[in-house]
Amino acid sequence: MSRVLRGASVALAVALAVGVSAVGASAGGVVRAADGDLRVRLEAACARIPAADQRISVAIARLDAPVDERGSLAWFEAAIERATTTGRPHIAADLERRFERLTDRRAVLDVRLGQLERIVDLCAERGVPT
Amino acid sequence: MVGVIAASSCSDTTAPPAVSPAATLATLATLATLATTATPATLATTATTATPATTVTVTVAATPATTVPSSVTSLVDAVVTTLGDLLTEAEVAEVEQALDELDLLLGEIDADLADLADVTDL
Repeated sequence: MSRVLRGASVALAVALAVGVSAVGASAGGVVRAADGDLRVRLEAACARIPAADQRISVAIARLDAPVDERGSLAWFEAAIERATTTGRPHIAADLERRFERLTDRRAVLDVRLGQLERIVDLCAERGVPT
Repeated sequence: MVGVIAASSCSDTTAPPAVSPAATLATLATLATLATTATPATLATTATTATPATTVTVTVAATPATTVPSSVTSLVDAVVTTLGDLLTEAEVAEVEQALDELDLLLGEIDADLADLADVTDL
C-alpha cells in the first residue's frame, strides 16, 4: 500500500472512529442497542403492552356499552336523568361529574390506543417481543 | 477494490438538522457505495447527520488518484450496520412515559367507575 493510500485510509478510519465514539459518548444521546441498559428498558416496556392493550379494550368496551350496562356513558346519561327527575340532586351531580370526566377520558383512550400501536411497531422493529 | 479518490476534504460547519437513524443509515449506505464505485474525478464527502444533541461525522479525504482499500469500505459498512441498531434514550423514555400515562388514565377511569352501585341504587 502506498504512503498516500495509507494516509487516506488512516484519515478515514480516524474520522469514522471519532464519529462513532462521539455517538457513544453523548450524554443523554445515542448509544448502541447492545449497550444493555436501554435494551433492557425497552424490553421491559414492550412486555407491558399485552396487559395495557387488554385494559384499554376492556375500558373502551365498558364505556361504549349500551344503556343497560352499568358504567357505560349511555348508562350515565340515563342515570343522571333518572336521579334528576326523582329529586336526588346530589346523586345527579356526582354522576354528572363522573360522566364529564369519563367522556373526556374516553376520547383520550383513542389517542393512547394509537400510541400503543406505534409502540408495538417499534418493539417489532427492534426485535423485542411483546 | 475499485474506488478512486481525487479531491481534497471538505466539511460542513453548519449546525446539523435533526435526522432520524433511518436517514443516517441511508446516508452512510450512500457513502459506502461511493467509496467502492467512485470514478477518478472526485470523491470528497462529509456526511453529517444527527439526532437531537448528537452528531455523527464521516469524512473521506484523500489526495489525487488514491485507491480506497477494501478494509476502509468494510469499516464504512460496519459503521452503517452499527448505526442501524442504535437506540436512543429519548426513544425509550418516550415509550416508558406513554405506558405510564396510559396506566394513569386507566386508573382514573377505574376510579370513576368504582362504587357505582352505592351511588346509583336508585
